Amino acid sequence: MSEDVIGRERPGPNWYVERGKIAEFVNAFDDRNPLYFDREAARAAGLPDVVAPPTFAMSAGLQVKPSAEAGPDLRASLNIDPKRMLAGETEFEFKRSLNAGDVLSSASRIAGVTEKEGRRGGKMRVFTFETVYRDEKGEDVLIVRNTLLERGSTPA
Amino acid sequence: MVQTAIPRFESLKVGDRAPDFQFGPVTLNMILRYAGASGDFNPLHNDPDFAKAAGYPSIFAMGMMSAAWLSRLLTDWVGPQNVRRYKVRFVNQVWPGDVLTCSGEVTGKRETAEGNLVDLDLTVTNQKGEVVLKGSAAAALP
Repeated sequence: MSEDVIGRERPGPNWYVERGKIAEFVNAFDDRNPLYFDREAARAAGLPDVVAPPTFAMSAGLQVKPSAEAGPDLRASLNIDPKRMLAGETEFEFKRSLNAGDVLSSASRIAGVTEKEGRRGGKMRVFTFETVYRDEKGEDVLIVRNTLLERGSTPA
Repeated sequence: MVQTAIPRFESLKVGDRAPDFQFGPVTLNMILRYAGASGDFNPLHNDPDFAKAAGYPSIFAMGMMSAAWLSRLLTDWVGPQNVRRYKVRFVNQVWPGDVLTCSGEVTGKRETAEGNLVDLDLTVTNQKGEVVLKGSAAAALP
């Protein structure tokens, strides 16, 4: 089944990068960098508006739900057991800073599905997803690569 | 105290370290604040019965929560607007009660078409000395 899902792509809805959401996000880890809150500080640093923190895209992927017309949910199509699922790694690649006011379109794809022997026995599955976020000029701003693991067995 | 002065490319050298910083002890409240802000309501991180049924002793924190705390060390150091890459690998779980230490070191410097890049290794370690998260980053500096 792995072969036919690799490359499967799904467009996402527009993501509006908002000051209030940035403030809420950075408050969750007590980050007081004025470039996240203070538009004047951001402008003094040469930015168009407050900047988003490196992991801010996590809030986009989870909160902005693609429409049904975009096709089946990529993750759901893989039948991953939620009790055996683990985060593997995540990479954020920025072509420029992400700022409040950005309106980004996105497209996600399944970049890879592999199997290997798990440390606790059973086949572990490794899933790689890639999402590209583009601005209104059509230029790439951010690429997120996410790897999920499905353990061969539950822990314990 | 948030550092907002951006270091210059030539001022950093391989082996330079950022001041370590700690967060925790991790609480359910801290996990829920991150859940609300990120939208990650996976029950492994907030539902003790679900976590136990999945074979875990208790709920545990999302890997991305530690990645967000670790990003403070990175962005205080190089400025959030200068981050060009941030990668994290989740090595061990973070449990309620854990106290975590974030550290970072310059591992390389490159002059590229995208600018002068500094490569960094970043790590989150728990109170037992176990690495829970391994990170790396690249920043474009003036």
